[in-house]
Amino acid sequence: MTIYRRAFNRYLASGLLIGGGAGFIAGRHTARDVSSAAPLPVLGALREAAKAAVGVHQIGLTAPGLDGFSGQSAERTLLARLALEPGALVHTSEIFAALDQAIKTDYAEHNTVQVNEYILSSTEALFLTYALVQQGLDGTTFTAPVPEIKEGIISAGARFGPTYTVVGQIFNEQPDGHGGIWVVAQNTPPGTIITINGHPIKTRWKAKSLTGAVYDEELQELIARPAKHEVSMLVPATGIRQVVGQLTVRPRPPAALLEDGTPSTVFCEVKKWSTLVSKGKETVRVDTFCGPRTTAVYIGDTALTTRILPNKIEAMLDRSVLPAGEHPVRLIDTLSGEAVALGTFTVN
Amino acid sequence: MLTFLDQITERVLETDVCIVGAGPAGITLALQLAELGLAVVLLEGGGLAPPTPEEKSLYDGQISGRTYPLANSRLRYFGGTTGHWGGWSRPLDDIDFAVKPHIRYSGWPIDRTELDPWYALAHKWLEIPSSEYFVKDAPPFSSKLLSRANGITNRFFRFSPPTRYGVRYRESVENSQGVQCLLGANVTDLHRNGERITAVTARSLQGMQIEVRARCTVLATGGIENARILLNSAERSEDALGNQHDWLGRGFMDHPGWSPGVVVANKGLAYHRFKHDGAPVMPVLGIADEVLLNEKLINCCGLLHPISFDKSIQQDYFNNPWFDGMASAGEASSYRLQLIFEPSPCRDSRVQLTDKTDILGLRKLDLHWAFNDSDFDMLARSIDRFASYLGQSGMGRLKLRKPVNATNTKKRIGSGLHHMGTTRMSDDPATGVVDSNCRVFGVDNLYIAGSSVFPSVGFSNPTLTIVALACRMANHLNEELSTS
Repeated sequence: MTIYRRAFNRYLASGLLIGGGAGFIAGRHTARDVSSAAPLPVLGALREAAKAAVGVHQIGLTAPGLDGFSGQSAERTLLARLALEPGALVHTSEIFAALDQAIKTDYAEHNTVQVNEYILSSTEALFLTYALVQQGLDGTTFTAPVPEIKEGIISAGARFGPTYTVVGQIFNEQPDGHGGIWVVAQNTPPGTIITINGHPIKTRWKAKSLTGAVYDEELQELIARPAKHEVSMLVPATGIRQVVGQLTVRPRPPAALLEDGTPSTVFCEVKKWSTLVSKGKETVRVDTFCGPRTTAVYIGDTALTTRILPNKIEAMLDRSVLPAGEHPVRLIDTLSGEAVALGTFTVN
Repeated sequence: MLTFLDQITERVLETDVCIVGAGPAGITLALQLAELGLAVVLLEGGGLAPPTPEEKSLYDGQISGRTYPLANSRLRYFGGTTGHWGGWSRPLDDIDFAVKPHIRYSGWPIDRTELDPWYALAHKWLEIPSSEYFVKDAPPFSSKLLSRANGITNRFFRFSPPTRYGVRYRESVENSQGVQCLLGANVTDLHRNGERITAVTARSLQGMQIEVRARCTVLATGGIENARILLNSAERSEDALGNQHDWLGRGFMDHPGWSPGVVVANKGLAYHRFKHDGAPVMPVLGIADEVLLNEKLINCCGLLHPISFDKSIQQDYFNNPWFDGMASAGEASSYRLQLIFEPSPCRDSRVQLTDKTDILGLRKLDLHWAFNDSDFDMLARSIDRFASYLGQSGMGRLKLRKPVNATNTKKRIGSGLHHMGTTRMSDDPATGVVDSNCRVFGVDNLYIAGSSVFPSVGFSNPTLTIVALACRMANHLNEELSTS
């Protein structure tokens, strides 16, 4: 199978495949003995397998329970998990075969742990941790003290958004309900994170941008009252922090009135609404500061594709799907059912 | 014939069957009965156009449980809620009809084979080109599906265009010799004498009133309104019709949807909507029936929506030898896992009446949508089953955004806007409102059509089953009325 060939070639190229190869990789997938190297003592083969594993560091770096990890105890545990005798002579490929079996057995028996929110086999997680050590990726990562935070420049010209919202309105609300923050910044070191008021938030790093997510109670606390929240980038490894701006939570405008005259619990006042044509596309634009992500602009009974921005709600308008005539235009929160009448729209 | 109540001069109509509600159940049933030679009066509260605010106000009510778009999830006009449905179709699974010992009140008093011939007919009504739901290894699926293994299987949806009943069958109703459809005819009273309904009173919003005297009456007003009409019948009798054991309005269910996390697996998987051979087909991941029973799980399905690669794991990681189930050269892709799951019947999830009345004088409703906490435990174990499947088969990994528990999940789930379960079917009046023929317990000639009779709901969208049950009911009523 291609995967095994690729992995096998990788091991060959790195000079790491010392074992015989007649077992797991060669035996099952290439049907020939690709190496004549003698088997190794089991610990040596385990170490070589750990060195040969690929793509382990990003998972393992934040694996829980790594503090105090002892190489010797890990090796004993792993050998027991892999059902290998400490004095045996084995090929590296046999280590992988045993590992493959142990991982699948773990899943079958629901013997799993969560690492970086991934559901991994407990043997898999242990092996990854061990592989980090063997690949020299543990070092200071797990034992060095947390560096002192100091102000500095991580990326000149960094900018971020959204820069404001109103009380109770989730900023840049995402499909699962969390609030999103983005920072555009060149050349930030991998692992750079976003902090709000000094608290790290879940961050996804890319070479030219960071995206952060704020959830649940923390999110509600941020938007509970008018405030200015400091948004920064932080490089955890060095402690260098750069303030990129403030997320302002403005007072909430008065509530919009629903069609029965009662105040809305989700919408606030609409300053105006209009239709615009740009680059051949027509949109309905509603100037308002509040609207949940479940909001849809309705023309008659047709829901338009709608997006929520900090100071407006925009919806794509396709006249061809609308019947001729005069139609009411409304903002409807499809979750609560609250509806705010905006006016009428005529299709000729 | 299709006309407005205000435009006819008769004030009393006599017919074989009076059907209340011209949605998919009501229209299917009416046209089927007419085809069988029976006379039908079909009463529709709305008109031909989407409901006016005044008409819509009849759907107003209050919410005391989870938030719910009570008015906007329903359409009170000719064609009913097919005016905004998405066309997702598949029969309920065999397991959905079975009593599952670990889920209280689960199962139907009929099994899937009872509905199979009617499902076949329902596909024609809904213009679904095929009733084949097992597309084994057919291109382009063979390379785009995960292997069936370790308790996980592939299931399929098909799609109606979607059929808008109000448009598609308007001419059929207009031209039908057997169907007299009255629009703007809102039912306000069911008159009972002993164990029979003797007449139905309907009123227009302009105040015109008519009485329909039928040998049989069928309520087909949707999963919420069926219960409200029956509950309102208590105003005239000691107990609401069908509520001898306090099940009327209880057991309200909808299909919750939720995205618990991200799956990393082969690129190019097809577990999302796409076209196949001109017929829309969508595979989903499901849990095998025997596993649902043995591991006491909840029925659910998973869709995989392609997203940008999840950077919290290295793509290279999936080149390690224990990913031998990943077939496409180790090129891993990320997908957002979307689950649709089956709620268990919950007595506290219910429709009941408030003291407020609508413009017709009927009491408005209160919807309390709730779940049994055990649902979330079953759901967590079902998700764990998906994770184990990926790991055990070497096909990928599952990443959870949040721990799966009642607190986290309740916050994030959405609804399918499928109203089900409020007049549940049972073979025992102690645990239901209608019998296996959808006849209201204790009333010889009153029937319920629609998803309110579903005692268990699986994860399939309800419209196909609603139409199949309507076809079956037409056959049953024809037999009943022919012999009586």
